[in-house]
Formats: sequence, C-alpha cells, structure tokens
Amino acid sequence: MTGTLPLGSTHADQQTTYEVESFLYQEAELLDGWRLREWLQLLTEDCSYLVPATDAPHSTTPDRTVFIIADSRAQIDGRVERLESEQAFVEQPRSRTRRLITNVRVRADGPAAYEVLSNFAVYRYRRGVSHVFTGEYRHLLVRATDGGFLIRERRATLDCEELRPQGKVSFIL
Amino acid sequence: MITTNGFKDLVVETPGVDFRVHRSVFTDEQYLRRERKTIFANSWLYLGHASEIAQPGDFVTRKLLGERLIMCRDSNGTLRVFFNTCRHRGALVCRERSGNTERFRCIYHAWTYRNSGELIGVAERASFPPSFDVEKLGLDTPRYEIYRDFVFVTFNKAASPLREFLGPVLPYLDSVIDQSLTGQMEVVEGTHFYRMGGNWKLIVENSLDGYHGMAVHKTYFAYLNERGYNLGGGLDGVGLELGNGHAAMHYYAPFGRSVARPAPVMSERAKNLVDTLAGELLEKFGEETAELVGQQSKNILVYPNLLIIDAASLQLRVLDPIGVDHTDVTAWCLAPVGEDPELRQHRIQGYLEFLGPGGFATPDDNEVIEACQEGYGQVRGTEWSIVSKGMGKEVHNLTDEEQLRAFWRQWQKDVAEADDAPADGTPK
Repeated sequence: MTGTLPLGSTHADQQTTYEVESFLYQEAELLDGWRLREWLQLLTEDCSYLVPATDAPHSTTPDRTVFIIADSRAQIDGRVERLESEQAFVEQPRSRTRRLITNVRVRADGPAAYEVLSNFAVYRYRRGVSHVFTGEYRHLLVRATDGGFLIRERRATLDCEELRPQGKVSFIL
Repeated sequence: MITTNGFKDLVVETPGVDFRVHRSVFTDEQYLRRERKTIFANSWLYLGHASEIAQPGDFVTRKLLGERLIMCRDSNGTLRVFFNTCRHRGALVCRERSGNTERFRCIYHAWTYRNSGELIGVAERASFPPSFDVEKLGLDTPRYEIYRDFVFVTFNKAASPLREFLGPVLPYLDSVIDQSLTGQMEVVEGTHFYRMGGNWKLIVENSLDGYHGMAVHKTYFAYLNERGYNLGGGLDGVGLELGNGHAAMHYYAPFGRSVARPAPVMSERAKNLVDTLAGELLEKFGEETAELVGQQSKNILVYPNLLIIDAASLQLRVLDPIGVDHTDVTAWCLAPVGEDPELRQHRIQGYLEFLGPGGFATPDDNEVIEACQEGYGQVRGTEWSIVSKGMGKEVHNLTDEEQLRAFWRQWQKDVAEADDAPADGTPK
C-alpha cells in the first residue's frame, strides 16, 4: 500500500534476499518473544520507528504530521524501558502476539544498504480479546561490521482505516 | 440486586459528606438509550474545526451519535453542515472521508446536490408528480453554530444558542484558542481514530481525573525524568465545576509547552522563542490570563463529550458511544496557524509521547477504563462507585474529584428531568 520499488532499482541477489528474509524472521521472533532488549541490539543509534496515522499513511514528515508512533532512538529506548517495567499496565500482563511476514521485496541501495518492503499480519491476544493488525513494513537496513544487518528506519504502515476495533498499538508493531 | 429508582438517584450526593454513582449507569443499555434522548439529542456537540475545510469545496464526513454528517465549505466559501443522506431514498450522498467537490451525487439514482445543499440534478424529473418541488429538496441540515472556528451541531431545534450553552466554559475555550496571537488555530494533519472497551462516561471521568496520574502513568513520568524534566513539584493546581456540566482542571506540570513554557529537550533557539511568546501573551492579556494560556496545563470538559487536553501538547478528543461498553474516540492535535516549525515539532512530539493509541500514557488509560468496565460485570457485586475525594474542602485540588462531580451532577439532572419527555422517544 505504501511503497513500490522504483523502476530501474537494483533488486538484491538471491543470497542477499535470503539473508534479509532471515533477518526479518529473527526480528519477528525477538518481538513476539518480548525479547525487547535483544531487539534493541538490531537498531542503529540513529534508528527511527514510525507508525503513520491511518488517515495519513503516506506521510514522511513526522515533524509536521501526527503519526501514531514517531520514535527517534531515544524514544525507542524509552518505549522499551517502559514496556520492560511492571507498570506499563496495558502490556502487564503481556499480550501474546504472532507476526507473519511475507512478500518480501529487497532493493539494494548501494553496496551496504537495503530498502526492504514486506507484508505483515500481527495477531494479538489478551484478556479474552483478539485483534489483527495487517500492513506493510518498510525496513531500511545497513550492513553491520560483522556482516549482519542493522535497522536504520522501521516503518509499519497499517491497512486499517481506523484503530477500531484494535484501539491501541501498545506493543512494538 | 439493583436498588435504583428509575432515572433518579443514580448519582447520590450528600453535600460535603458523600458522593456515589450507581455502576449500572455504565452497564445497562436503558441508560444509553436515555442519554441519547436526553443528553446527546439536546446538547451542542462538537463536529469539527473550520481549518479542516479551509478551501472552497473542501469537505469532511463525520459519524456522530449514529448520524452521518457532512461539514463542507461551499463554492462561495460559506461553511455548511448537512445530513449525509439523499432526500430521495436515503443513501449517503458522500462516501469519502474528506476531499474537495462542487457537488455531492447520490450513487443510487444519481440525484445531485450543489456543495451549498441545493438539489440540482434529478434523473427523469418529468416522471414525478406535479407536487414534486426541487426547490424544497435540498440536503437537510442540522442546527449548527460556530464559535471561533469550533463547529458545533445540535439535533434539538429548540436548543438555546451555542454561546449560552458554552457560557461557563468559554474562558477556558478562549484560553486554548488564544495560544495563537492571531487567534487562528488549525488542526494538524493526522487523526487518531481508536476505540476503548468502556462506557463513554468512564473516559470523561478519566480525562478529568488528576488523582490517577502518578499511579497509572509512572512509566511516562519516568521517561520524562530520563529526558531531563524536573518532576520534583509534581502536579499542582485546581479542579473546577464550571456550570452546565462543563468542568476543568488547570495546573502546573513539568511538561514544556510550545506555547510559552520551555522544556529541557528544547534547543536554545526554541527556548528563546517560547520565552518571547510568553512575553507577548503577557502584553496582550495581562498576567492572570497569560499564565492560564501559556504556563498552565488544562483538561477541559465541554459537556457532554468534547475533551480538550491542553497539557504537554493540545488535543481535541471527541467521544462517540457506540454501545454501553464501547466508545469510539477521535482525536486531533490543534496548533496555532503559522507556528514556528521547531515548536510545531515539539508540540507533535509531546502529543505522541503522552497521547493517542501509541503513546506512553493513553494506552494505560485504556487499560484502566477496560478494567473498570469489566470489573462492573452486571453490577451484581458492588453497586456504587465512590466519587467523594475532596468533598467539604473550600478549594479543590486537581487530585480531588470535584470536576468529576460537576459532570455527574449535570448528567443526573439531564437523565432525570426528561421524565416528562414524550413516550415515543422523540427529544423533549
């Protein structure tokens, strides 16, 4: 819904695509497992985490548009700190989430940077209620010195027109 | 079991001693039906802000209390409000959330209306009988009035004028709008549409409740602490009953405010800008009003269902009860037209850190509201909620519950007084 890879862009080779997919699955495992401090290790120091408002899904200007989430790295750290505390009541007890990631598209942006689009479905269960969040991820990845990836920008664009019935994005989407 | 007396004695006050609310008002469908008839059908309800439809032809569609409405600016620039239903057989004449158009065309039989409401196109018009009068078949309009770009509607044709209804809350509404030295405010792009699993009145209470702040939002304040805010003073201020059901609390909080209160996370440039703004407010309004506009945080209830949260940022929050135990919340960020981009960024950042479905605080409020709703069950257990904090005091602190009692007093009056309403369910 949000992104199309521009014509003429360089699609990554099969090996890179495989590595990127594995990385996305690894990230999903950490998030669904509430291993948030380990997840932080996947982010660059200048990483941002964006969830656009459902009526401004294409906005790229969180400085002048209201998003649902527009975290700089300091705010991501604060968000994780909060979620790790026992007093983030909306996630204490924690919800169960399960995310399915498909339709992964990888574009090389130079030798060490990648724009990755993927589709997601995240199921959330808590206190007898279940909700589903579908949408598109856009990860900007850079190669780390150890050959793995780091996330420089992570954008989750929701398909729903309103957060009804979901009501909130209280976990890391 | 339930020991209430029809629509009376649901809110029981012994002045200075006790204040109780019967929990069935949150759980029993009959009270929602009653509220629709006696409160929502009679009050002035916030619909939108004129800045959302700045250009001729701009429109937004809104759902409010079961009605579908269009708010638009016609081609001559006049703001209009219509029921979004064709005069013929009733289909929506506009199915978009927002946009710009010269006409609204019903998809069913292609009846077409100008954006000023007149019916201008009827297919096979000659086949209608002679009494068919196109002149009289423009889009229907509810009563609407505008106060400083705030657009309100009422479904009661006999309601007193908007200014009279708003009267006691006007100084607070003004104190919000006067953040802009030109008096021009605008809604910022990006709307929060979310839902809470609780009765709408629980959200009214929660939005005016200064008592829960430190208990529920510890993680938010811990975050501010990390970011260098001085939380030593806590929250200091008062809660007030204003009249006509309106209520407010105003207080000093550790938040910075883009309007006139520096924050540690602001650049030197931004701090200088807000200091300059504070000086300009002082010059324009004098000390007391400038303090209220610029320095103090405010939570304001415009009875019955508009909340204005003017704290770390500025939010308009409208509650739409969609069932006795579910409420749709729509929320917008409001800001001065022409605000400096860095201050605008600070305003939005402050908004997202606390407010909305992804904030560090609102989701916990959502949890609290749902915990209350679930805790009530069918009210076979504890029947009465306690709302007596601060009773008997001369000045009510914001952590007292006087501002909640203001709401409840009007609510009880409204649902009980309409006992003389016609039995057919039409508004009195």
